[in-house]
Amino acid sequence: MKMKINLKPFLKKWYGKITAVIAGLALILLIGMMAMPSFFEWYTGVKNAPLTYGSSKKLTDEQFEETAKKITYNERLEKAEEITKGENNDFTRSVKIQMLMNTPSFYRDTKFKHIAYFRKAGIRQYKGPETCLECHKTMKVHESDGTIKKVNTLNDVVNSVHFEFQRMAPGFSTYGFNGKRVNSKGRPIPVGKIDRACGIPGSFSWTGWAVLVKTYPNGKDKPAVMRSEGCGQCHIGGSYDPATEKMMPGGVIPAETKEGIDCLICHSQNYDMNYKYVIKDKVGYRWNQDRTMEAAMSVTIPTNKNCLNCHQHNMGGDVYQYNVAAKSLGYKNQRILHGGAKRGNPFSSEDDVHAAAGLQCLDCHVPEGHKIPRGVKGTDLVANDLPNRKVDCENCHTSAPHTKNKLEDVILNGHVNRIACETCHITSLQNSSVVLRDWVHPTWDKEDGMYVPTDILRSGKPDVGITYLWFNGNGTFLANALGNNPNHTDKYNPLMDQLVTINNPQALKEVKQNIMSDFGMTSQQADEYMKSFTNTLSQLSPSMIEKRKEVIKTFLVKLENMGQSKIYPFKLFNAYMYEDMSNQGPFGAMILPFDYPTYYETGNSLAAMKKAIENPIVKRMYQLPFKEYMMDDFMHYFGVSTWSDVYPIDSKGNLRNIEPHWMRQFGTLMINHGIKKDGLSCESCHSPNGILDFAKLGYSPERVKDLTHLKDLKYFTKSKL
Amino acid sequence: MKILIAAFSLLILTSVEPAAKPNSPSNREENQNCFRCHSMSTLSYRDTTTGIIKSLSVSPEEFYNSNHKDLECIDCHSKDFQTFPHNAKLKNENLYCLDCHKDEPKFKQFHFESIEKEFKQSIHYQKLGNKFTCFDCHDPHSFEIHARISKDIKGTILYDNSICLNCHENNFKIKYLSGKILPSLYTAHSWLPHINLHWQSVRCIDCHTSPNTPGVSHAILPKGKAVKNCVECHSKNSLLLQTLYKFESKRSRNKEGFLNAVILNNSYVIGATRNYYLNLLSFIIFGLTLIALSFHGFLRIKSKKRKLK
Repeated sequence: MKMKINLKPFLKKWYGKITAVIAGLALILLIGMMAMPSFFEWYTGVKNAPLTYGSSKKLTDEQFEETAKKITYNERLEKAEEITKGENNDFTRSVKIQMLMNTPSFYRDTKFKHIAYFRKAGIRQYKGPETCLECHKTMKVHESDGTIKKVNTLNDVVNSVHFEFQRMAPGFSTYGFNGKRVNSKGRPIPVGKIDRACGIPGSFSWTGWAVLVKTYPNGKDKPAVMRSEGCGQCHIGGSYDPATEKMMPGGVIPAETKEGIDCLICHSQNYDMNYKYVIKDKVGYRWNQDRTMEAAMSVTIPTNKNCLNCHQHNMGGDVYQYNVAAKSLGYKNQRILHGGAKRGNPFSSEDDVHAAAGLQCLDCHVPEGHKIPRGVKGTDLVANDLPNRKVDCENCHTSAPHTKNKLEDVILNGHVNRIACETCHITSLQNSSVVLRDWVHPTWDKEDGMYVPTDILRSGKPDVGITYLWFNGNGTFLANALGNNPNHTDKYNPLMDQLVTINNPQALKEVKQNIMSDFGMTSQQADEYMKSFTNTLSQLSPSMIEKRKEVIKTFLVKLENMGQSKIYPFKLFNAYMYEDMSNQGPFGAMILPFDYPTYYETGNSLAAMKKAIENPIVKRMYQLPFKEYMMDDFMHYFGVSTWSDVYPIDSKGNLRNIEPHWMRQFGTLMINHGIKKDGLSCESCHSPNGILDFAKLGYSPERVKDLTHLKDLKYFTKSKL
Repeated sequence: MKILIAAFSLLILTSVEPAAKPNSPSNREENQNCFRCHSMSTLSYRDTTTGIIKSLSVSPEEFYNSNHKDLECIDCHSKDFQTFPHNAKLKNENLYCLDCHKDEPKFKQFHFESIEKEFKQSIHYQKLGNKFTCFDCHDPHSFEIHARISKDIKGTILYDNSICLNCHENNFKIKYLSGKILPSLYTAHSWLPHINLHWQSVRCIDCHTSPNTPGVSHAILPKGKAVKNCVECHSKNSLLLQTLYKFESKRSRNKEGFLNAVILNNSYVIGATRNYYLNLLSFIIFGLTLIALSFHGFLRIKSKKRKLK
């Protein structure tokens, strides 16, 4: 039997035609979707390939049991020691401990439930996410409104900020210099880690994802020591490049990239950070990870240790003495430690009262599935999984946090409405907190044997490293706190005042000494050099300054007066970097990244910058689709009407329109950790030379006099706070 | 702690002389000394036995818009509060509204004596005795008479109900006062159709007090005695005319004359003809119809006469 389908009559009908068109479009879409990953790779130069990790080894049953014994050892020991506390005879006690520790119920009773699960399921090798997903294909998510939702675990991870690099959704507490809240209206653009206005150009993740750097700690004539560097050490997504596929319309995350997700760095209590180093294979450079069975068997809900594997880096800093992860730099190609700390407000039991009390990160940052809230306030452009979920002191401490019921406590509670808790209870930051970083003039680090950016000012002190500003929870596109004195004065204008100058005489003296010794400058040269950051506006032309005032008046004043402002402490930061002057606005210009190996190895910052912007993706930024799709909107937020697509390298290979500059104002980074039980004293602020500059904070001269000469202060200072 | 309690009693009002001074700079100047601290909106402490946050804050904006705006703090509170830190003895300052408001011809219209009587009959006083004071409902620092003067019935409803909800939506407070946990208001009113609409349109006290009172009823009834019969409001002689619309109908009687009030009072559904202009319009339409009718009749009679001729 033969059947011939004749489509012609069908296609002649109107519905036939429509069906044909739809089928045609569907076919194009299908082909497009199939071709998209290859297109993305071709277009951006991003590489993808199946990933293997040397640490993923299959254990025998005996090895499995040995490992189980090993990882439960401390638990069993602690328990046995506690039980045998009353035994006075040391030897008897040790025998008892031995007996108890080897009791079957002691083995069973462990917080590492997965030992039993793996034993039963016959899992003897950890192969990455696929092993986890065997059981955790879906998971229950408790949402803040009390509902429970079942979600696909892998999608939940892939759509969380810990994997993503950008967000196109609204929910940013960031306002552009055009007065618009980022991605709240109009066509959203991808914003977040990939393009935030961060003063550290290395965070331009495409050009510095995973690299190996030759260093010479034993002298330049001795063999080089390889070190690992790049953003990939802290990002669970990505393989040879960051997983930024979704920034393109229709982009999909390739399966290989998902296979590269490092579940264990967040979940394993025995994750060995020594496995975090850069490896080179046939395809390129990528970050290694701990995929041992030992790590897999000790998974739990993330603890502080897990979060701090990465987050101590930008809180306490790499060189913070209690940064645990920084003590395990790698079995080979050891990770480079960054000298200056971004914030210097560590979360460790030594320096934070909550950590000391045994609180877990997730106690305040209560997650919904793999989405973790960072609070509703923020000055920077970091994407937020749960933008409406509060992470406030008040959540636990109420609005009357001082409970000793002395006169001081009542008055201190009275301050809560105006003064953020952090203002008094972060008394200082780590001394390694970097305030001024010169990327353009690197210095030779003898110990590490490489060139590093020069931190000409590090300080964790109030008034130098910390400034105090009114803050209503929002920030500008360049990380400046927005807010105003509740009296809605027009006297408070940090973008023309506090944030464009540094004038603490002690700090200036220190800076001058630093640059004279680091750069070998004369006193006169040093003074000249210092002008650009002691008065950052000196880098702007008079017309730009006028424009700046105009933008502040038209757009920012309104934003500053929004909501309820309190005085918050902020870590100050400024950096000297190369900028693309074709894309300059009244608040700054496009910052250009550096190629890490060139920078660290040669100390030639200009060459390093040139190499980085030769990266295909940077070139794409200066081409048409990118300009239309993203860069123009990006510049609108920047306060500039259009993105100039003049690529900073001309056809002859020469750089054009590039100048080194300090940011036109200091960035203000929120600080919320490193909380001390005993805050600052009353006189820290209420005295003529207090840390709060009440006049600059927009108080009237009479009120300033009142606040600095409180006649009743003597009643409170009896018991020092 | 003593100082604290003393400071807390600042919230409570007593009488020295209820002289109505003009809202002069002198009262503001004097009060400014207190407001230096007490205007801090979070000035508060945690009660050591209950854990409840006790606010010591008085909002100057609210105070200067309240009925007591012309008073100085020390008109009610002890003059000794002028010294700082406050004397511990002051914690026992025991203030009572009627110390000022009793037997004063000026306040006669408010019937404070009957309020006092009714309060003593109320379930709050009956159950809690002296633990429950005027100040548990009425903050003298922000108190405004509302129902009497307001043109906006909805606003009055919101204002009055918020007084009740302040405790009744907060089981923490209820437990502190009564030792009991009450069911949620929704559960307790589950029999009531259109709960939210009712709550937006009538006050709690309209059903939960006895209406026979010269002023605003303060005799909060026990649960069982509250109005539960729909017809008590939704009828010709609606209960609400003696409660929620009491002052409104009195006022409109004064303004628009007895006729409008009579018509208002006989309306069936509460809220249907509360509008003066609608009433006026209906009068005009009624009058016009009457004129048209009589004109028509006049013509008919005339034409009939002509036909007869």
